Amino acid sequence: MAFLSLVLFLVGSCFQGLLFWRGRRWSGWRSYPLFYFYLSYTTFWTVAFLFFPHTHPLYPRVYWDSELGATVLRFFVAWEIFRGVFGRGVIRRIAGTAIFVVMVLLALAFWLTGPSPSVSLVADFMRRMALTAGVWTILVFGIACFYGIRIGKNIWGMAVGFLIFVSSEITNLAAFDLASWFAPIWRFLHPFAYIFMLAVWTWALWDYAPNPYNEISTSLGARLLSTWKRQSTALEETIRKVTQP
Amino acid sequence: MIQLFLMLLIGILLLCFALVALGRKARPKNEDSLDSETELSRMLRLTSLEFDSTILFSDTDYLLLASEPKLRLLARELQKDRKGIALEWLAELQKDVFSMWRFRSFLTRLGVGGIRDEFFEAVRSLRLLCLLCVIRISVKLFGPYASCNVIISLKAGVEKIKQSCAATLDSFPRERWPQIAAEWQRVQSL
Repeated sequence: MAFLSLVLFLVGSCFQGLLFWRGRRWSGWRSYPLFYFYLSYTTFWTVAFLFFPHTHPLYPRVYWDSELGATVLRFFVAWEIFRGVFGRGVIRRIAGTAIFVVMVLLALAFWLTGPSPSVSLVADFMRRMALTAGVWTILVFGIACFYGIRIGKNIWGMAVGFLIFVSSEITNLAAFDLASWFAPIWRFLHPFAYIFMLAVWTWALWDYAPNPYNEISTSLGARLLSTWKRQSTALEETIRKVTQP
Repeated sequence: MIQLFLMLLIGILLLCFALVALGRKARPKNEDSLDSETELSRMLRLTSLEFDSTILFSDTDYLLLASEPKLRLLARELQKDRKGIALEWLAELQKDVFSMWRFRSFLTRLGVGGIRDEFFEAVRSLRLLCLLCVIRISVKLFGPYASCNVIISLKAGVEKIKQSCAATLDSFPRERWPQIAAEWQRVQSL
């Protein structure tokens, strides 16, 4: 088990290193700053826990605090996905409103249901936050699909990798409080989901591939529109003549 | 308990969705061709294909207006308006087909494709250009509504040329695309 942990740690570190290296080559920091902030945070704690003795009395507290921080910072990635999919414009406003409404409804549902009795409060909070982040990502995908917005490889990979990890987190934390026989299975699988997310991110963010050109800001479009407007004025004139001879 | 069970279920469902999405993405070639098509549109400033011409050539609203004796004059005005716009769009489409043909020849000059491909592309482009000329004359003489179905197949033909052109561009490494774009700009300005 210790050997497997070491292998996972090494593979994860390799992916993180590759992500930073590639990001530095095409200025990923500038394009996706919030995403790289989250990645830096997780990398920092990965390294920090290497030097933090597990037997130290402060270890559990620091570990859970760092996990809570990561849970909140995951919304940075969710925001980056939203920002990357919808450029500035009407669709972004529509998507923003839709997501805001769903988030409010979700918060309301969480508040009404309250924490389940005899469950860990931290796990409950993290589970709900993970669910919110997952729903956010699905909504972004759904709205993009509805409006026919093509998603670039960078954002697509970021979203899918994120969804894989977040869904595994929800399952893991639900299993944590639900069934003693199921929890160890998912606790074993969860680190693989994290590595898988890093692998998908590395693949998707290898090169700069933003959203394909979606807007129809062409000269012909503008010209035809102006022609249409000019001629529709004449049309209105004719309608007036017909209706009031 | 129910809440936890629901969470577990949602987590597994989300995971399945993400994995299915990942599996469906295993079509890099298609994505690449989309990218190269986008790049091609940018390089050549192809504008005509962005415009949805179906409504322009559809006679539904014209027939509706013409069925009312009082609105016949209005229907005629509408037809005249549409004719002007249709001719302008067809001219733009013709320009784009010609641009793509020239661009493909330019890529051939850079060392992609063979004589056979070049010949077939030239035949296809010439056929479309001739057809476009005929349609423009037809629109001038008979108005825009006479050629609705032909326009749909014509646009499909132009799309095919665009795809073929994009595929040719795709055979170059991406790093060379900016260089090709710059060279193309230089050729255009000559």
